[in-house]
Amino acid sequence: MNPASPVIAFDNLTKRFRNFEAVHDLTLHIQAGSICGLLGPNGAGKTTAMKTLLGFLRPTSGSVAVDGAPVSPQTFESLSYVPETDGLFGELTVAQHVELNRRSQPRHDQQRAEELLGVFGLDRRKRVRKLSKGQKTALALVLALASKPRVLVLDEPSSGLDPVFQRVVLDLMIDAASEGGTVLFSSHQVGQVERAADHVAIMRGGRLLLYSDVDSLKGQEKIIEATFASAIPDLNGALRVEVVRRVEQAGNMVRISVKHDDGEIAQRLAPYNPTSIRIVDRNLEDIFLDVVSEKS
Amino acid sequence: MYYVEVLFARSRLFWFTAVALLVAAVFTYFVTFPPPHAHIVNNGQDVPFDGVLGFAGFFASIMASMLAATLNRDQSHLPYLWTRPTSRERIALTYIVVDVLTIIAAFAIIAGLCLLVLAIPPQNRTVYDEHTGVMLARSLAFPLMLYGVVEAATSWAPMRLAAAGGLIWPIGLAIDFLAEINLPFPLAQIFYAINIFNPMAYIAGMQMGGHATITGSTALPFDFNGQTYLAFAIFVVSCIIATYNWKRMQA
Repeated sequence: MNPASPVIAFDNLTKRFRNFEAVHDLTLHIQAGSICGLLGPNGAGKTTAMKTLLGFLRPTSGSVAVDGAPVSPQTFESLSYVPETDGLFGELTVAQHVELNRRSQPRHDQQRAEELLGVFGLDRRKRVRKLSKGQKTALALVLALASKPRVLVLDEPSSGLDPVFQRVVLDLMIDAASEGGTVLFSSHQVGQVERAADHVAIMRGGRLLLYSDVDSLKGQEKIIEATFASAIPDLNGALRVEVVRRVEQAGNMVRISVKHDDGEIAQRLAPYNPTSIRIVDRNLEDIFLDVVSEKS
Repeated sequence: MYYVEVLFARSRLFWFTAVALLVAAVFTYFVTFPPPHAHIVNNGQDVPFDGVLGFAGFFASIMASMLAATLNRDQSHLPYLWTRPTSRERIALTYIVVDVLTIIAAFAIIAGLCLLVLAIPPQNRTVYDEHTGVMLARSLAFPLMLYGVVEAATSWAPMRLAAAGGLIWPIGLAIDFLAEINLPFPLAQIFYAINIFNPMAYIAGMQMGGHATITGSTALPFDFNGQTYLAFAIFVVSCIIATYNWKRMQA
């Protein structure tokens, strides 16, 4: 495989169910060592895109590839998947699942599995149907990571987990990527993507609205916070410029979201005598909400 | 992937054997120590081995019903099963092979228990005749065909059809009944054609008396042996169809 070619590739992927188009013309390339967070509201097409990538669904048009080739059974020697619904066997115990993984995955590392079971505090003798939703998610993660995959696809990986274990999951993804692995994960929680991902893809209604490097995305977009000694003066004239996305007022502070900052807004505010002007990076949540609402 | 199906089949076989042992023990107890008011006269009689085989085949078909729809049963586990470095055909065939071996084991257990019970005083005599070979084939063909037909009928479905293994009994018996009676044209021909794929029609072909009377079902084409071959052929084709359907399914 060419080192520059993407590990995960969606090319003009469209998936239609009868009259409903779940994914429309999705093109997304994820490079080796990258963690890509797939964000989007319910019904955005995230799970459908992942299922098509893994061969559970056949594309209506377009193509998907892992390591430059369509998915085949051999792909799963180095690709692990954690589904949104656990997919585990309720009648089997935790230990039997680990044994099943050992028998069915050539790259299974028993020591790693034991270590991860300990991290999540999973009781080996417990039947899966008696585990909580979070514990099932944790077991699915243990099985996925015990195979030391080069490609990790996770659909809502922290679903049902408490905040401590959510953090553990994010750290495990970061570890996997730092060892050269490639991670694609979907989430509803913008904070998780912001913490773990280096790239973000935002989908809505089956369409990819944005795909970008997280740091440069946050770096481009700024928030200018201007505080005034008393009531906020009428700034309409000053803020009627193209770079301004949104203006919010709270007390005697005004927050102005701008696409990029070249000092123009601060100059325009200066005549109104603010007591302070602060320029901060926008967080991913603001960007996500703007993108989703802008394109709707 | 045989491990998960082995665990499932083993647990079903365990309960099947436990119930069979219990029934055999109770039967043996009452024959050996009849209640004082009971008047049982049995100085030993000839029991055709063909009957034992038919009996074992019938109970093996209950095990087949319990195991059937195995590919459909695992719908909710597809995210796990289909992300193994093993082809889907191989996973499906592994499941089918494990189930078939379990059905044969159930058949052997029931046949063995029957022989054991028959050997207990007053010492019935098990009679082997020239039909033993064909009856063995027919008694195995019926549960295997039942398993295959249910598997093929359910493997494609995205929804759970776990009850199919049980529902095939009343539905199959009803179809066989309709194929046997004189319905007007074209209903008679339609039910006759459907009945070819109805496992229940193949059990109806075994008629046992003091010695087994080996006759083919009147609602099926061919003679007894031809029907047995047909049952095996339908089993094999059904398993191929089930595997293909399962492989092509979208989840």
